[in-house]
Amino acid sequence: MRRVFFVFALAAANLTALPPSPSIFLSASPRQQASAPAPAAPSPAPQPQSSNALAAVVLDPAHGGADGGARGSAGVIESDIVLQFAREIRLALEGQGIRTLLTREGNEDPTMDSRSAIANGLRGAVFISLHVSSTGPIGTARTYWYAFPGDPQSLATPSSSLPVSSPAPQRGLLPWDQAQRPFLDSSRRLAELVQIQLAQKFNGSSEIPQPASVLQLRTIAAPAIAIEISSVAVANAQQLQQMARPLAEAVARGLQDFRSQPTGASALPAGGR
Amino acid sequence: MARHWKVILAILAVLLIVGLFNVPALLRSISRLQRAGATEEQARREIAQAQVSTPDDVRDKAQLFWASPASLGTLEPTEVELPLSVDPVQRSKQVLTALIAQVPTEAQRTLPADTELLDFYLLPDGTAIADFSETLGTKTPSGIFSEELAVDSILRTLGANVPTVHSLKILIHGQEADTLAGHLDLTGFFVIPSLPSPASDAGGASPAAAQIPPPPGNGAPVGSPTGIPPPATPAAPPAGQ
Repeated sequence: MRRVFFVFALAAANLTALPPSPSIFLSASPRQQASAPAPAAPSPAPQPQSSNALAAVVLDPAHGGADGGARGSAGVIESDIVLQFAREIRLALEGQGIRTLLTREGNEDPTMDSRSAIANGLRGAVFISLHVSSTGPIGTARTYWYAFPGDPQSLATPSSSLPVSSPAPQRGLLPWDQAQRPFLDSSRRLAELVQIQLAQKFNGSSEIPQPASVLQLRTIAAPAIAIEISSVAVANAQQLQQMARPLAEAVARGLQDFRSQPTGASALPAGGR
Repeated sequence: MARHWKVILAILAVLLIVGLFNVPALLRSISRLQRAGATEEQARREIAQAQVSTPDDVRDKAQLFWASPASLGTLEPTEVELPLSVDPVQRSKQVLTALIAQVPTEAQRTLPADTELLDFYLLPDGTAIADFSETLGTKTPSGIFSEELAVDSILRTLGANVPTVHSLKILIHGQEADTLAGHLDLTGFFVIPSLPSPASDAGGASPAAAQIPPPPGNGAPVGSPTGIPPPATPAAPPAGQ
């Protein structure tokens, strides 16, 4: 039987109108029923927000455990490299005073839903999934935001042609697999700001992020992006390891720009979360 | 040596001799089974291939989207002359089979070489379902970049050659899959971008395309190649890379 689980919509037009501690309802995922995550920890009490303050950044080193992800002929394993990336980014963000959590600290492989639950259990979080590709121009970086297949809202039109603020956000319960929907605009804005920084750090990278149906992002009830570095096809792992520092600097700068946006032009759902 | 040991040794010797006599027969059986397996696989391929050819096929130019050799990470259309059916289901099978089998160079490949299109269904409203063999999931290089390129090559190839197909669901070995190779969401339906065909670029519809009947209950083929600029889709290739 297909069970659906819900995320309490945190994307209210005015957060102050929401109950003080929105609950997050989890049940078995339609995709990962066998390994459903434990219910998320209770959300901390909401803080009054006058700007796009980030309460936390959840970094998601993809894969892990038996799932090494992409593997290069030189022995590069994606799950190892992205963990190093995540640790480096955490250092940079904590240096800015931003609380940073990792979806895995070692070589574990939490389910996609477990990873999502970490971000969905927090207020004011941003979710960044980290990947290394199998192919692609080596030494470049791409940022993606989630695109619901067939959803015109997610088409890759220039953001300048879209309204600055998010469309009227929803309140109440969201289906788990629609959790990202109210955050598409803010995810896109975050992706744009981060990609601009990445393009400056990594020659050959586009300045424009891309929409893509990256499944991990779909169940995140927060601004969420995926960053993919090219690639495991490098001659040795050091080439990728050397990208960790500039990657961390680019992400930190992009988040700084994101949080410093005036509230009226918020990439976050109005009023933050 | 005790008597019972002698008996045991004698029995073992007999068993060994009997076993040795049976070894050639066993080897022949294994060889026969291997041949049967190969024949079955070959027959399945032949049947699948035979379905792609129909009596009303017309040789015409199709636009197939492979990775660009000049710009890594982007797709580029290549015109290939193929026997194309007027039936949209058969035509879809023909172009997708060619997309896998007729790639000009390995560097331009977007779908694994041994992937097969097992079946293709088309509903009257233009919703299509493409069922690929398991290797699509297991041999597509893992990563957002490569998975997006794979799906986008399928969508754009269908969009350029089969205007009656409006959306696509991808199955792997008859089953719904969460992702293609760990990243790209396959749980939904992808919108097929309408692309101008080479013939429409030249000012007219291609003969084969013009013969494709509109979907039942629909006045005219929606998304027909009319020179509308290709919309970016969720699976659009990264620009400028």
